[in-house]
Amino acid sequence: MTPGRRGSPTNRLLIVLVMVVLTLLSLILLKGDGPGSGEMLIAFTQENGVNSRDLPILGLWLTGMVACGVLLWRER
Amino acid sequence: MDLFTATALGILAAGFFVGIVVGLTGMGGGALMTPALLFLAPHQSAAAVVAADLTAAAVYKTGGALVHSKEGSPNLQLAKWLILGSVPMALLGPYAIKTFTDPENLDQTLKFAIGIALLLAAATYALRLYINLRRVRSGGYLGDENPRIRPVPTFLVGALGGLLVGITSVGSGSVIMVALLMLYPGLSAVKLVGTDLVQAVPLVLAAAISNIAIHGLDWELLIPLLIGSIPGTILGSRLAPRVPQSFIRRAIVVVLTMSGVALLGKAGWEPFGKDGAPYFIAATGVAMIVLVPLVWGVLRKGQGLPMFGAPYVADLEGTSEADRKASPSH
Repeated sequence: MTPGRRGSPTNRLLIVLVMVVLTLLSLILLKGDGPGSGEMLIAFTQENGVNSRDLPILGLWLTGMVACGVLLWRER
Repeated sequence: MDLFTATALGILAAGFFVGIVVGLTGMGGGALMTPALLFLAPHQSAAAVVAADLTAAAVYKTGGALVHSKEGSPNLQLAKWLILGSVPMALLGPYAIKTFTDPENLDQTLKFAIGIALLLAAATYALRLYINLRRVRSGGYLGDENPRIRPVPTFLVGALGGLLVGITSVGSGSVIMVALLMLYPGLSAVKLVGTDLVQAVPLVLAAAISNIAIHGLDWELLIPLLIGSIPGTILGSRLAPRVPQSFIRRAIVVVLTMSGVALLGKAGWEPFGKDGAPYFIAATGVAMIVLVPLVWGVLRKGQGLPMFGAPYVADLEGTSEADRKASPSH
């Protein structure tokens, strides 16, 4: 985002778009039937839950969301 | 020839969308359209897609050069050495790949080459930003608008660019532009754009002619592509002053990287097996969105700047609001 454009609705919309894309991509990775999901840490059902190899993805997703949140806060 | 098929409509829509992006940012023509065509028309060979894409690029690059002929001020000496290198290689490249590749493997080889070219195009964008960051830190442009031409390196840049474009249809703008920036750091953005416009037209024409001579031209690909992309490009260039170009450019880089990885997968490079390919592409996207800004912050720190803040990417690209207002073309 460029200086002098703070608070523009376009900027806020673009940040939300990044959040949506990041969430969708993360969901594809978290879906569960990818290669080598690792051992299950938290079980939701017998077959689904949070696996050890989901943690880096959740970490990246969270980092991205926090960064976008900061940008949104600056654009308020 | 059947032009009223779902594939043709898909190509028309993709051509329109990519045309808007190209009109908005001036980047990504071949790099976005080639993978889009390969995914939308999977029954078509990669060679047919490259030939159609280069022919469409020859049409709208020529149109763009005519429309923008008053903009920029090309360094004609520089353009001459680039063209001397690029045009023969753009003509020879498709013949070379046909000669040295088993016909059964031609499609795979081309997809692999296009995948690598897309990753290279994405990397050159980052490299260009980094060069501009270093320029800003060293006190701006060195100011030598008409530098002493170095014929051999310029010729070689043209030759390598010509080979890349002739084989893959990707890189006529991005790759050659960043090589020029490294060879002639004193050139301003206006000179660079002008020189790039002058050299790209004969390069793309030569590459299109060579590919058509070898593989023929598929009108079912070309016609919807032109019908979609020409109005898209015109609309995009009209919208350009009102849209934050820097964001779209960064989005293009993410898409280029994901498309490059996807095409490498289609060419048989699947580090996580066939089932893992969609996950690898998605993981690439997540990494690009989250990690690349962090790496950029570290690079800024290395230049003595805070990790985030001014100068912003748009300032380094020359696409900030102030730059757009100052530009005579807008």
